[in-house]
Amino acid sequence: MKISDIFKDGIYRKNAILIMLLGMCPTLAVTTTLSNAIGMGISVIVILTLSNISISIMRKVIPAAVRIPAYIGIIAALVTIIEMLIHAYVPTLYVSLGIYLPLIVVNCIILERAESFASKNNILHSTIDGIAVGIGFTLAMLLIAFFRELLGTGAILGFTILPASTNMLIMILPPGAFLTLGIILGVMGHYSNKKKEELENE
Amino acid sequence: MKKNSLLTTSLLLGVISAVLAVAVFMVNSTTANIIAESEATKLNSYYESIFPDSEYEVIYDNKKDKDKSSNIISLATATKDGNVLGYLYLAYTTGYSSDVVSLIGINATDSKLVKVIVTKQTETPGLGTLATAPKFLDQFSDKSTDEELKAKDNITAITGATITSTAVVNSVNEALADFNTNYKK
Repeated sequence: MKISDIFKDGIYRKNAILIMLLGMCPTLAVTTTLSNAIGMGISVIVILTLSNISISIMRKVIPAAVRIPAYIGIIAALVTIIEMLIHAYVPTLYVSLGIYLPLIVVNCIILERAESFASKNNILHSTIDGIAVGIGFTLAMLLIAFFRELLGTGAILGFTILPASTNMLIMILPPGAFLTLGIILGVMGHYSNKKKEELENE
Repeated sequence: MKKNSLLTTSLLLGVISAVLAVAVFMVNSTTANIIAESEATKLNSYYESIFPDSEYEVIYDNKKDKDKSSNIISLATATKDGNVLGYLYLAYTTGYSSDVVSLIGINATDSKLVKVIVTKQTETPGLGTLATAPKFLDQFSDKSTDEELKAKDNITAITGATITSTAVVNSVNEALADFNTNYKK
C-alpha cells in the first residue's frame, strides 16, 4: 500500500465525516466555534494515532472472536491514561483540551479505524492512517465550525467581523449543526453527481 | 477458529483486560497525588481572586463528613488582620453532562455576593460552557444574600444552556441559604 494513498483516503477520498458520516456526535456538538473544532481535532489526531499504533502492535495477540471488546478496552484505557497524565503534568493543556477527551472514548471513528485498518496493517501504515484520518476529521470540523461561528455569532476565532444584527442564534444551537452539515453534504453530492454525468457522457 | 479454543479466547480477553486495568491503576496511583496538589493550588488561586491577600482556612470539608444530602463540598474563611472578610463556599450541582462546581464568595460584613467562579465542569463546549464564563457569572456580583436567585428571573440565563445556567444558580442559592442560617450577622 502506498503512503500517499493512505493520506488521500484519510483526508478526502474516505473523509470520516463528509464521506463516511462517522463520528456525528462530536461533529454536531463541538462545531459551535472554530477554537472548539481545533481543540477537538488535535485531541482526535493524537488519540487516533496512539490507538492505531497500540492496536497494530497487539493485532496478532488479540483473538478474532473477541477483538471488538478488546479494542474498546484498549481505547478506553488509553484515553483515561492520557487524560490523567495531561491533568497531572500539563495542567494548562488540560484546561483547554480536558473537556474534549471524555468525548473521544465514544467516538466511533477510533473504533472504525482500529477494526478496518490498524488490525490488518503494520505499525508504520497504521500510524500514518491515524494522522491522515485525524487531519481529515479536523478539516471537516473546521469547515462546519467556520460557517456556524460566522453565521451564529458573527465572529471568526472570537474576532467579531459581522454586526450583531446578522447573528442567527439557531446556527450555534443543535439544529444549526444539522443544517450546516446537510447543506455541505448536498453541495458535495451535487458536484460528485455532475462529475459522474460528465464521465458517462464522454 | 477451532471449537476448543473457546477457553483460550476467554483467557486471552481476560488477560488483556487485566493488563489494561493494572496499567490504568498504576498511572492513577502515580498521578492522583500530583493532581490533588495542583487542584489545591488552583483552588487557592481562585480564593485569591475573590478575597486578595487574605489567609484562608478550610472550616468544613464534606469529603471527611460525607454528608450526601448537601451539595456543599467545602467552606473556607478568608481572614485579614484577624477579621473575617468573607466566606468561600465550594458547591456543585449536576448540570447537563457533568457536575458543575462553583466557588461562591460572600462578604461577611455587608452580606453580599462578591464573586462566583465555576471551577470545574465538562459541559457542552460552546453552549453549556457559556454559562461558566465571566459574562454570565458577573451577574451574581453585589447581589444581596436575602435575594432568592432564579434563572430567567433576576439572573439572565444563557440561551441554549438553561440547564447549566440553572445548575450554577442552584449552587449559589445553596451557599446563600447556608450562609444565612449559620454566619449572617
